Amino acid sequence: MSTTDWTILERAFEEASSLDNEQREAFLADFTKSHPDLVSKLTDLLRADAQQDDSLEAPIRAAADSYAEATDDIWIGRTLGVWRIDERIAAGGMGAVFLAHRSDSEYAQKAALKIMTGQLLAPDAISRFRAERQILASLQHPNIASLIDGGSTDEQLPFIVMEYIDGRPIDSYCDIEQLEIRERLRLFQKVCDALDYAHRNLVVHRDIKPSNILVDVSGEPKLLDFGIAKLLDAGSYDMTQALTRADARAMTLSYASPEHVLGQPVSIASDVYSLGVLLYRLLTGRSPYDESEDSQRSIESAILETDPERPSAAVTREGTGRLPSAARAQRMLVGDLDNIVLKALQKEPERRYATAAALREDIERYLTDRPVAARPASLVYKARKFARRNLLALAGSVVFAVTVIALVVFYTGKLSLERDAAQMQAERSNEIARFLTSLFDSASPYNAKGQQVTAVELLEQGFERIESLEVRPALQASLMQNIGNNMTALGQQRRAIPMLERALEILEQQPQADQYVLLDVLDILSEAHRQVGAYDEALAYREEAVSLATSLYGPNHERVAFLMMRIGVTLFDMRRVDEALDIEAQALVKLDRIGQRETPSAIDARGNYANSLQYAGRLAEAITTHRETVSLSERVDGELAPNTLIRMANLAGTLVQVGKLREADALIDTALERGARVWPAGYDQFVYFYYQKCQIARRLGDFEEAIAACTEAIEIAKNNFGDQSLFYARPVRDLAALRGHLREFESAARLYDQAEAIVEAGAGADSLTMRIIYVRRAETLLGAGDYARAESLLREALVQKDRMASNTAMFAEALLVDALSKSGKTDDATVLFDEILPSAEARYRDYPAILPVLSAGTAHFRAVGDFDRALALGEQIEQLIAGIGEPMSWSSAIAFSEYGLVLEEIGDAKAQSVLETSREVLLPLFGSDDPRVP
Amino acid sequence: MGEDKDITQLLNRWIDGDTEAGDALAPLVYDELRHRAGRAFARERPGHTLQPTALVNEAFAALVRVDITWQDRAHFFALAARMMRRLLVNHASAKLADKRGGNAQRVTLDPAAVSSADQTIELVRLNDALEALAAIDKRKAELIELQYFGGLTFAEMEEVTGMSSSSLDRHLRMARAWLKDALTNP
Repeated sequence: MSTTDWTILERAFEEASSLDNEQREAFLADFTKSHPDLVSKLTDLLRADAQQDDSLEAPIRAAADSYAEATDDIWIGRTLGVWRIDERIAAGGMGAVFLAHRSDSEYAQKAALKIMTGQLLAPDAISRFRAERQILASLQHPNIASLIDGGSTDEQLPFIVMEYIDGRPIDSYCDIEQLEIRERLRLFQKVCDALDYAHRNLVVHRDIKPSNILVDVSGEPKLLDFGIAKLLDAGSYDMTQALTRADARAMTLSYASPEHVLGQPVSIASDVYSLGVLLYRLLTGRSPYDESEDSQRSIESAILETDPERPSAAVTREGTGRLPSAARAQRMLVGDLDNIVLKALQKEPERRYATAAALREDIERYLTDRPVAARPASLVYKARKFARRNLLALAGSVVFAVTVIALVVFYTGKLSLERDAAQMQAERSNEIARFLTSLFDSASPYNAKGQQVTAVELLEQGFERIESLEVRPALQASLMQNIGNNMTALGQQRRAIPMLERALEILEQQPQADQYVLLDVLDILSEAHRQVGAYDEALAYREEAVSLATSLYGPNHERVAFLMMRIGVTLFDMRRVDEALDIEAQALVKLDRIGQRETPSAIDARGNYANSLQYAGRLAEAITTHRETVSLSERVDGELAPNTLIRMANLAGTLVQVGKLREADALIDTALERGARVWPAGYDQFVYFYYQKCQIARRLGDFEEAIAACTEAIEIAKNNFGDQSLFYARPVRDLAALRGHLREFESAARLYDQAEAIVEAGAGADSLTMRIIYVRRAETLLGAGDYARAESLLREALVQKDRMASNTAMFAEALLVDALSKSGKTDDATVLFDEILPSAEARYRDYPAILPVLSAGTAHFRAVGDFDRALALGEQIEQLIAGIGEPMSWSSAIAFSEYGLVLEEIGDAKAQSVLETSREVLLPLFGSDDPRVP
Repeated sequence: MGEDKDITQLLNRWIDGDTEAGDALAPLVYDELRHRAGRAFARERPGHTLQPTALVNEAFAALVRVDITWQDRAHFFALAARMMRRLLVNHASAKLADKRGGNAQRVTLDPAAVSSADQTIELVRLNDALEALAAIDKRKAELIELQYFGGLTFAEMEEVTGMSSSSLDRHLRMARAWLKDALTNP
């Protein structure tokens, strides 16, 4: 390509890439005429421009990984602290293990030195390594290889130095030394002791197998390799989550317990099971399962389904085996030892020995000729077991389903940053809390004794430990960020904030601090502040993040736009809606400009913008933007993607406001129907969907359906969030309002009381949520004729008028006009009405949302005898209703009847037909005794 | 370290346009990077692009232990990015040669291994594409090298290149589009 052509192409690319789709097409058409030979290259470039940059980054990253893997033997001969590395022993899953010796001492103390080396680029590697070190440091037992030292290399890679065991794996030791059964049992008991000690320190080893139990020259077994052990502690959340995936591979399969194979939480009982496999092997010389099966799948299914042969039978079948005398061994094994081994190998964790100590104790009873606890299985049990065995396949699919749900929850929580996804955020946090708690529950037999520690407490302890760790500050900060992040996910923002601020402080003291970690900390910190309502801080951190991101990524990067969008969300939370709209619009323009219109965060940004528009009462734009968001989402995320469904529900909510009830209803039904395909019944998100369904059905006058939807929302909220949560209070409030519409005032009052009590205890009496309850309650009270109380509630509610959605504030003001007028404060009513009308008309002139205002005004001016104004307002009502283009809704009909009453008062002949039309709508709904029916 | 001064001198001479000095310097930088690469890449940073900046910084600190101006530093970064690229491409090519050689019969079933082999090829292709870009527009290719192989942040690149934010953004965007296109439509 000639230089001239290249320059032309460059200019054209620059210009075209800054245009939106429509303009771009026009530009390309022109360009085709002027430079037919260059247009196809330009089109290619523009197409490539919209693709992610991953194809450029990924190969470099992969080459770096691979390079790092290939070159980690630069270690031999190096000195780390006082340790000189002599030779490589193994390259385990957690890092390379070396034989090292103390270089500063006269006698050469040998040690095993493990470095987290370059091949461990998995995101969880460092925390796993750290966990192993913490675990080892907390364990001091003669039969556990101890931690001697640790530190970081010059390059800041963590390493640990462990007792070096010059010995043999326990199984070959037994065989080579030709140990008798009783000697094997004594040796095994020591392993039980060591493991029980670990368990009491809340550590599950998870990889018990002969190669991890070395017997040294003095005949002492030593437990090693806590590399995939689970410390029930802080940083272990990420670790364990990652492990569930890699578990089967990380753990030696033939020693894995059924729950481990199924990917269920492992516990002390899983270690007990592995001990059982080990004992089986030590006593019979073979595995409890047929090892001739070579595929992983058949070993897995044997672990899950096959009952192991009795050890006594196995040892016979094996012939002489590796035991000194198989025949004698068989005689010894029959009975008690068979029972002991098989009890440890039960498929169901609760049927095994509860602890390693109990297993050890039963062996002790055998060795001292006392009756053992293990008994052969009863017939009833065997029958039940048969049935259960055939359910195992089912159990597998349940686990799968749970995993899928967890993934959905995780990703929806992660991706959907629209405000309505707050529920999902909570769900995700609950999910994590439950997960952490369940890990703890399943692993500690001691929590029943009142020592239960919550996940939050574990995280706090973890944080304190990190604070006192003498490690590289950057690592310390990064661990703190991790814990703070998990705290946030658990909904403990207030606890997370000081942790994250500490991480920030550490990072800011580092001249060479990792700017990307710093950005993450600022981001999370700002979000945590936002979530506790500390908006000023949230805003300050977010602004700092934007400027940092700009310096890291350049101004035109998705991350920058994304952070700007989050500023918009914060501003929205502060109810500085106009500013929010402004910055959200800027973020959208930026995303469009860099060709990132269709990424998940760009769609989020659009959805947020639509929500802000709606809140500000810019309904036409809101609907257009919502529609764009839904269609992008359907295309990019998929029709069944959780985010798409939420966006549909958002659109439905906006359609309601412009009176497009039928379209809204069809939309919410589709969302509900799709939701039922992707979520389990009772999933949290349905609370929001049923809330929208309830609003729509109510406006359509289908009160039965509205009550059903509302009740559904109440049930789900109660099950998922508890009956003291705001999620529960809101549908209770809506049900109260419905009862009010049906003039069941007592029932409504009870429900309002209930909702208010929950909100008062939670968000507080002066919260926005409470004030919205007041608005609804005032509406009901007006219906019941209690004008004074309605007035006082409305005045209370309107204190926060600026923070309410503009249509809610307008509605409250309309109700207040009504209350004042009906209680005889007519002058006040007139003044208020004149005050509110202009702003209501500015936003809602053409939308049914304004009907309550017009209707209250019509009634008021009719009551005070100002028929000219009443009539003018009534005509406005008529016009508006005619423009909606849907059958008249009951709330429109009530407004319409006010118009009819004015006409009647001034003797207009049209009165009858207007009143009749209203009556046709209202009579079937409310019956002839209802004061709303003319 | 006695060679500090020599390296600084080499660097200065190279900056002044002495290509021989550059030739002498390159292996030193290369070697330093090679020794430091293993653990530097081990610093995981989830969700972000590999950023060998720290590595380059450290290599710089190790090689040049005297204060030099930022301008010189900028030159060093350019050199280091070039060296990093060479290092990784050499490694990838060696790996490919390996695969084509003795192990040609072996069938790999491990999906991770397959994708890593693909990525190795991808790096070589990226390198070729970068060469092709350099033939048309040298500056753009250098910028990409700085960004992806040197691991410089946007702000650092502004400083190193002295370009304005908008023109840097423009060059990079075009360069990335051109490369992505070259990789998908060879």
